[in-house]
Amino acid sequence: MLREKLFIEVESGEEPRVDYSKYLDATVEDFERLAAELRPRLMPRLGKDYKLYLSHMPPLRDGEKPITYTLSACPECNSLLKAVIFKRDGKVWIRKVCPEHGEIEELYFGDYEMYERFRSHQHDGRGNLNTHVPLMAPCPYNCGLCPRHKSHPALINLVVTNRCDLSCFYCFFFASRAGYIYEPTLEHIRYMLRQPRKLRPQPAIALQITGGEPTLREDLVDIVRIAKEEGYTHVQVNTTGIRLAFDPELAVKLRKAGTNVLYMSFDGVTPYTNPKNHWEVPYTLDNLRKAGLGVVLVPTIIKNYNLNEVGKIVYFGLKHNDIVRGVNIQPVSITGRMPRKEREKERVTIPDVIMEIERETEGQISRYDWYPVPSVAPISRFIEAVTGEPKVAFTTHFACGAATYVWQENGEIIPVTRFIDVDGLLKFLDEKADELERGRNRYIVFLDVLLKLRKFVDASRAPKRLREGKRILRLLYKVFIKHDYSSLGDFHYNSLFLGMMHFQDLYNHDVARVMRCDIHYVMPDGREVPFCSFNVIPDLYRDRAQKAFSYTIKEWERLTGRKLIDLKYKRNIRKLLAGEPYRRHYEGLFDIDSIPYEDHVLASKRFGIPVIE
Amino acid sequence: MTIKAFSFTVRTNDPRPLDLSVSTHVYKTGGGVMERIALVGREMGEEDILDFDAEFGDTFNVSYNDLIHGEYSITVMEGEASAAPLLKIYLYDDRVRGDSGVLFRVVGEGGETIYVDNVYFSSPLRTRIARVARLLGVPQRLVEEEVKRLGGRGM
Repeated sequence: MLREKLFIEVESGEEPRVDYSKYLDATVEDFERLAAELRPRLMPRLGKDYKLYLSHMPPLRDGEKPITYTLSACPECNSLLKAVIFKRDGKVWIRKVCPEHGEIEELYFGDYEMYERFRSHQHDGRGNLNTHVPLMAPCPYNCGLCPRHKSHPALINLVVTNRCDLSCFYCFFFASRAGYIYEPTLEHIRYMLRQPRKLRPQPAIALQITGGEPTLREDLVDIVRIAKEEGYTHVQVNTTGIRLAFDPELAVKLRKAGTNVLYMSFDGVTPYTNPKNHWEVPYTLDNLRKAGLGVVLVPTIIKNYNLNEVGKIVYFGLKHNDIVRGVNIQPVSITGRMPRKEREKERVTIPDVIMEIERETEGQISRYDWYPVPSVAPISRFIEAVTGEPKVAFTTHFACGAATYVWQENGEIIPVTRFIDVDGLLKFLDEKADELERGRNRYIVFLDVLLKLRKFVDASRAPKRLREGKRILRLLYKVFIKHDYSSLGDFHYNSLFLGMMHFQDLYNHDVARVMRCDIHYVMPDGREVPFCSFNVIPDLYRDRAQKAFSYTIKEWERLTGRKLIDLKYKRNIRKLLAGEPYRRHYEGLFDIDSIPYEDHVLASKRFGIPVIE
Repeated sequence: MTIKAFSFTVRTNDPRPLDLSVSTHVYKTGGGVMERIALVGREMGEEDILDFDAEFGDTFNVSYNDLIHGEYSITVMEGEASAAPLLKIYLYDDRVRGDSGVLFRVVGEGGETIYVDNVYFSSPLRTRIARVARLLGVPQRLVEEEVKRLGGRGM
């Protein structure tokens, strides 16, 4: 039946929409056909969705030094504009002028010196040999991926529901505010997961299952299983962790199905800075310990809200690094429209957060311990040159993210840079990859690597486990000479990955960053859209596509026999505070007894989460 | 039909060093022969941006946004030809990678790309020449001679 007919309606705004309830039994092939039909009709349209104003050059003023020019979108009307990136007062700024909405200036990178250092580590990707959409529009109104895109995906995001059991005041994504329910069937999910796997030369291998709140889906474990069947070797679930605080079995099932790690929101160590899941996190961590499922904490950092707690978040991660694998910090992306004065209260960039961590850790984690994401591309390039097989390479724009590794020993924090000459090693590997690509004898190159690798390592300064028997050197030999990556587990043992990813918004938007994005969303119509198009221009990407493949709330309630409102989470703070895990997890990070119960309740309620006794 | 091609030079440092020159030569093919199409140059306008991206996004991973990041010069070249399969030969000199050579694009009668090389993933030149000659139905020797005449390296 479905093979004969597609159930597509066209709404007044000419946006097509599927009667999704008729697709509950549809096959992968049905979705293939439906997606092919809808994809061109969901693409952004010149004149309707955006305009081009490329002849308007943004001005520069006294005391401003231009760095480069780029393209950027207007925050008011999505028009594509020329923008200038420039230096002023030791910082990097972006300015653009929309003929309809005037001049827009925004902080781009909070420290010029760090901008220059990070820029020196830029490595671009080599693009994709096949893409999902033809080139029909300027970037970023052609996302899908288009033939211009410079990076292959390092991580695919799959939205499995827009339902959420919270109603955070800043979020417009969840079902009851959106007015529809987006929840693809398992066959539809299988169709979506297959699209990024088709990319060549490097198909996607890492997946993040996200929402809404993915743990609200009763078949989440099946989704993890399908992802593994489709060839994703790394699967992570992005969650608030709230359901996992009360459902230890779910953690075990997710782990057994092949989930590698959880990505859990964690905005601070106190109830004031983390009203989303402050009280539940200790219980979630305990359940994850029992399941052997690691977690990465994901704080969103806002200047006047929790920037001054970012160091404590790192200490929290170190305190629990038996189960916390990393902290991946996200400087805020300003969604919606906001006047400049308001933005200045919120805006932080990667250097601002890095320098705050340096301050809070009293220099133990310094600004020079951090490297931009594309700095590690020479490692992939070297291994690729040796093996002759394509490898995942992280080739985002240098302003998109940064990372480092730290260990803690006897109360001292040891960043990786204390015992590895990271700059020297990366440069060396890049040179060796060059030699291999130019046809130099592999064995001569290997011999050179074997002889010189030790000069980049000072084992005496490494954490004890890596220091003993010069384990760190043996480990590097295994990776770079024998290509035995199983030993990487040894490197990660007891370490804490610190990452930073600054997703864009329409104020600091830079097309050069979009083109290099390697964190993509797979869409219900099979497109693969860079994160900063999917979420930064949501009306043209995320919302339009998801709405087209959605149920009405009424229809969903009729089909499932459940009420959306009944799924909302209500918090029993008194009970959570009384449990032993609460004190054990936060002890030493803030004065637990100084916060009255009423303050806890107020923090939760202000955030939008009701409290029950 | 109208034929459009681009020749350009770009030099940038942000976000990464790029120092690249590309010149394009276009040939009409059919009946076993190749005929170079005479093109007339003009300045680039806003209406050319998409065509530029389409031409150099999948070949050199370069787009208009890369050009405006630094200093660039560009010539848009246009000409007329009756409907026929076309061969575009790109001669490039990448001074950052220390690489120069030749890429091909075969365009069908309807304007669709039938075959295109990518600078990062291309096979040896002779293999590619054999392939485009086969696709166009012209003797391999003709393509080889033209590449030599243009000064393409790698023969």
